[in-house]
Amino acid sequence: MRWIRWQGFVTFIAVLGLIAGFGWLFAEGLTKKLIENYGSDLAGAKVSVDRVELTLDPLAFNILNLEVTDSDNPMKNIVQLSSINAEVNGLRLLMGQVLVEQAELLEMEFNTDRATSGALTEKRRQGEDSSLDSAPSIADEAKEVLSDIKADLPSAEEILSRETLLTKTRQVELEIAYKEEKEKLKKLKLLIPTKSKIKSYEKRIRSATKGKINSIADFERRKAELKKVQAELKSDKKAIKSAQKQIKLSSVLLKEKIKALKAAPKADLERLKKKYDISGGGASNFAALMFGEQVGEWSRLALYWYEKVKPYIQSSDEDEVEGKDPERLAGRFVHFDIAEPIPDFLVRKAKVSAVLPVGRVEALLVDVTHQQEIINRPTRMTVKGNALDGIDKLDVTATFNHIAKSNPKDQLAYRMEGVALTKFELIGGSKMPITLDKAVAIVDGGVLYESDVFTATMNGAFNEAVFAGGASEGLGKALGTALKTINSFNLQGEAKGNLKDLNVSINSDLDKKIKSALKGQFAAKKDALEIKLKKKLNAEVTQFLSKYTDDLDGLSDSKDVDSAEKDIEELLEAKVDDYKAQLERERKEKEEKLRKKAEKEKQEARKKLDEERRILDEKMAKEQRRLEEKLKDEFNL
Amino acid sequence: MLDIIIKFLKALNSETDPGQISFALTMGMIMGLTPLMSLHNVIVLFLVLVIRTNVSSFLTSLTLFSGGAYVFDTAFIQLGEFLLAKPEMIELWTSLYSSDFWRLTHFNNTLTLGSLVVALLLAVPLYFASLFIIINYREHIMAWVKKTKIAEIVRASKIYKLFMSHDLRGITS
Repeated sequence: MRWIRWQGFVTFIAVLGLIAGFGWLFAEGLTKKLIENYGSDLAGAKVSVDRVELTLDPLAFNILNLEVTDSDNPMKNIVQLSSINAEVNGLRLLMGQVLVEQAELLEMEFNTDRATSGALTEKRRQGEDSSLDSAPSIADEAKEVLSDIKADLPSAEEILSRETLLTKTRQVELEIAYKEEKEKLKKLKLLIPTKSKIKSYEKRIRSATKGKINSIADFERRKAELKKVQAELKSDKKAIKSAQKQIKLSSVLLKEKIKALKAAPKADLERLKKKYDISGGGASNFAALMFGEQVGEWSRLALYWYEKVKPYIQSSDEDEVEGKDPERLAGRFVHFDIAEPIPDFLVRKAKVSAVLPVGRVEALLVDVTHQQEIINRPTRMTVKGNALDGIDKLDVTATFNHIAKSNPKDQLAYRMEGVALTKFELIGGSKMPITLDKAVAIVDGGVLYESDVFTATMNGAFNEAVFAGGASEGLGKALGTALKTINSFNLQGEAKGNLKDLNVSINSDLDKKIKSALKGQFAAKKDALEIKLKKKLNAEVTQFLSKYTDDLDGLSDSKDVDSAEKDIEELLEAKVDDYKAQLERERKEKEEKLRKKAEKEKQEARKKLDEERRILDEKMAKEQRRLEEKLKDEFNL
Repeated sequence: MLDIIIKFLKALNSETDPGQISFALTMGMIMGLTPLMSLHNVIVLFLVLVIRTNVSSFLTSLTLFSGGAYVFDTAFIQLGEFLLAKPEMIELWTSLYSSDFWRLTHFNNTLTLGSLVVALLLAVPLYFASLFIIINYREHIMAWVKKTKIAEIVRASKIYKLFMSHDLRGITS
């Protein structure tokens, strides 16, 4: 027993007791601080709690009046809860896990006012991306379209004078291109040799190549002169080639510009027809014009709130996935596959009662955890509301699936029945205000957020519709009248993209109904306007091009340049005779001369000889005849 | 801190059982190297208080090893990661993970496991090594030092008397 110290046992118990006692004493304050500090970091704005109450049996906590400030508007709370009750598994807590079997979140309210600003001293903003203000307004686009719709069809002159026409743009483009190309060619043509210059080349070449070469020095001088002329000719030839190339390029470019200009009136006409033809194709956008803004705003609002909630539903372990070193002195908890694995934080069920502007809704959240991969189940949510203000029944089901951290998928489906719309402004302003005075609708749809792309869909069936508004005259009046005849319609909307770039598309049978109601009212006017516009646009182009026809032909004419090139090529072929060859030629000429002289003398000698022979022959014949006669005489033959 | 070191030096130079000092040093090492808020450290604390050990030596060892542990934390975590991911041991860890008691020990924490394994491996060598050093120190070095003139002068000095008479507030063996 020498090694045992009994009083140490008492000390041990006392130490443990003291730790537990102090822990319990400060636990409420510590929990409050933890929630406020961690929450503020997460929200990027102040998170405050009035009080935290802890009970031992069962081990539970009650958080009273939790307020989460909107980081974009510090005088507002994103969410406020009057109380959060949760029973915590004590044994799991000692294991480093927060396991809540059931929680109750009471009186949840959104967008409530704050008494004091909830901005943090060093505000950690998420960036401007999450701000609704930065989003492009569909309202602006709608206003732009609206500004084009007058109470009546405008005249052709009016349209042409106020519209930015493609024809005009192309005319300006052609004009600029023509000036530029002309300037380029002008510069190049200065480098091309003139007729007189070519003649001077000919002269110089002639003097270098013609006439007798008197000596080697004379030959060398002529050769050098010819080389000089040839170098000048080559340089001119290069300039001619560049000019020919540029003429071709300019010609192609200008032809393209002319072609584009000729096509412009047609394009202008199509666009203007679409824009001003409210009884035709223009009506196909009318539903988008009336509902697009609202659907876009709803989608943007949904996405905005999703971005706000996203940090709370995302896994906090993402840093580890990216390979960040574990923090010093912390290590990490490794989880193994067991029948019922428990993550570090899990709320199995949470009942939420939320107070919305339309009334009270009840929600149930299941499996709320930032480590879904451990339980292999997504967080699910259902929301139900009955007899709400303006909505008979509301059903929402949502799944936040972050099991595969690299490919999270959050989706939500909703259905609202008996949605009562009253004085619902579709097109504002004083020009042509249109209001849906009354309608009862069934609306359903879904929201999907996957791969950073947000997609929201909506299908609405509107009955008992009563429209009001329109203009006091012209098309606006006709439209107002047409809408008054419509008492039911459907609407399909889709919004896709991200908060900064959300594409909204709307489909509705309303367009068809409006088109049908307006049919014929503006047909005659529209046709006349179309013909007039066509004539005016074509005339504009013809008149414009006539100014340039001659100039354009001249610009692309390369006859002079080609002729200069031909002359220069011929001149380049000139050569100075070789001096040795000249001497050889002279020797041969002399030989030929001597040979011819000898030949002549030979012929003359032969001729003389022949003459002498003939004379001799004649003499001999004469002598023979004389002798024969003499013989005859002597012998008397 | 100075108090604790003085008490440790006094214990070293006193008639305190060398085994009590070595055991205290070992327990301090285990608690110092591993995360403080762990179930096994409750057992260590219990042993230190109930078994007659030299608390000053324990506190000195705890302080020294806690300081040193910061340097080795990364290595401990890597060892823990290695052991917990070792395919041959997954079955063992899974069966322990199924038990609430073992989960309470935080064995599945990489730092806890890594540092505890190192501490337990060092425990037995440290105990015997420190025991050997203390016995030999007392037998040879301390006896020799006591005989030297300088030691006699120091022992006669006021500082030494003040040192020896230092108020030993706190727990002593």
